[in-house]
Amino acid sequence: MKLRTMLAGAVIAVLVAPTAALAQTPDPVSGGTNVGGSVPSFLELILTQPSKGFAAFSKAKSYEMSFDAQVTATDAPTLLTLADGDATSGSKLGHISVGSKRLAAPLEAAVGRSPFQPLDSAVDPLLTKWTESATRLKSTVKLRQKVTGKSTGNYRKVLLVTLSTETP
Amino acid sequence: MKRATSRLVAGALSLAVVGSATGGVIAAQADDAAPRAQAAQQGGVQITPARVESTAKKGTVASFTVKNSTKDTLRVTVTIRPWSQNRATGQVAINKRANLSPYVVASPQVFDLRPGTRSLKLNMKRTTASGSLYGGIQVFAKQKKKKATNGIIPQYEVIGALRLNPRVKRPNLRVGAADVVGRGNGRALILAVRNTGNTLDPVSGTVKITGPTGRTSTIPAVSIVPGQVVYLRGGSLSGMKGGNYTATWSITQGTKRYTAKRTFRL
Repeated sequence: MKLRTMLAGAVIAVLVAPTAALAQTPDPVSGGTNVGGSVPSFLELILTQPSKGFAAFSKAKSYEMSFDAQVTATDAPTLLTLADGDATSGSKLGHISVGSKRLAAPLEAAVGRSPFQPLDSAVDPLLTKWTESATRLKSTVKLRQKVTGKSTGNYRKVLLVTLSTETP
Repeated sequence: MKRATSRLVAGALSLAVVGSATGGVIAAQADDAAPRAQAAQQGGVQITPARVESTAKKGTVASFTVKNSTKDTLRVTVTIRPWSQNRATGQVAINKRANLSPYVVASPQVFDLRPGTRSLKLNMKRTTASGSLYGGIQVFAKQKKKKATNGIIPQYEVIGALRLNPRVKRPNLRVGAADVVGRGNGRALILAVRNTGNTLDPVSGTVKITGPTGRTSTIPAVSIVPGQVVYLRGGSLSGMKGGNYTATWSITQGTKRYTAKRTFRL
């Protein structure tokens, strides 16, 4: 009986000793040294290649395509906008063109469930706004082109995607 | 003959083993290559720090880096432009019709950037009369060789902030008229304030409204760009009775305090 009690005591001692030792060891994080650091402010805009084509339009319909914009920003708020990179005014503004030919309807853009906005207006369409810091947050930018008839040729459009801080 | 047969079998077996192993390696490489190819299709532009802050002085004032994570060479143009501030929200956007190149320029301003990073310096050519300068750093990047992918050619524009603070701060505000904006429960009191000083120190304070109904509100802090006007928000007026009111605005910017009394009618 005595031997059994001693053995049980030894087992308990063996099990408890490391736990007690662990309890006495100071937490490495709060062991008297403040842990911290500074991270430089950061802005990053990543675009993926568009999935479907907008170069040729074989029949009259509404064509849609999309690409992803990934944003990393430490200073909020941050704004993502889209604009025509070819023209800032005139008849070609917001219209997909090839040479002197241009499609009648303007190119339209939207993010998420927001309605499509034409790119031929004087104000750049606001796509998304982040009110907090963001890390590789993805926004899918949808583009829509309405075509009224078959349009041949290698149509193209330069799109300017802007990521901007809103804090001076 | 028997030994030769066994050698042949052994050789065939070893070839099969080597072949299967190689095949396995090739297959593994092919599996790895797929995500790599997909990843190579995306890329972009980053700037760090996105907010460059220093004291205004002639010469090199700060530096920052631009990174090209696309697989193409980009033609990068860096321009410092003044802010245009939204009066209602206090948020800023660059004024693309103006630039601050007589005062600050990036060095180099225009360059080709292969995939990788480049450090740029900001040189102050001339100091301003106020002693400070605040603006946006516009980093515009386009493919050097235009490649239309599915008819779309993407261009990048990343806009950071430049804060060249004055050696001696001179906070100064010009308080303008108060007004009531909005309808119904959305009615709010605002006060136009122009920053005539040289700092970006946030403007905040309290507003005490006396009249048929009394109320005290806190003014949310807002940084006003020197020279710009922003409407300070004096809080909601919903639920207040009709009549003539007096609002006493106590405004602080840094250590400087202002008091302004404005009357309004509901």
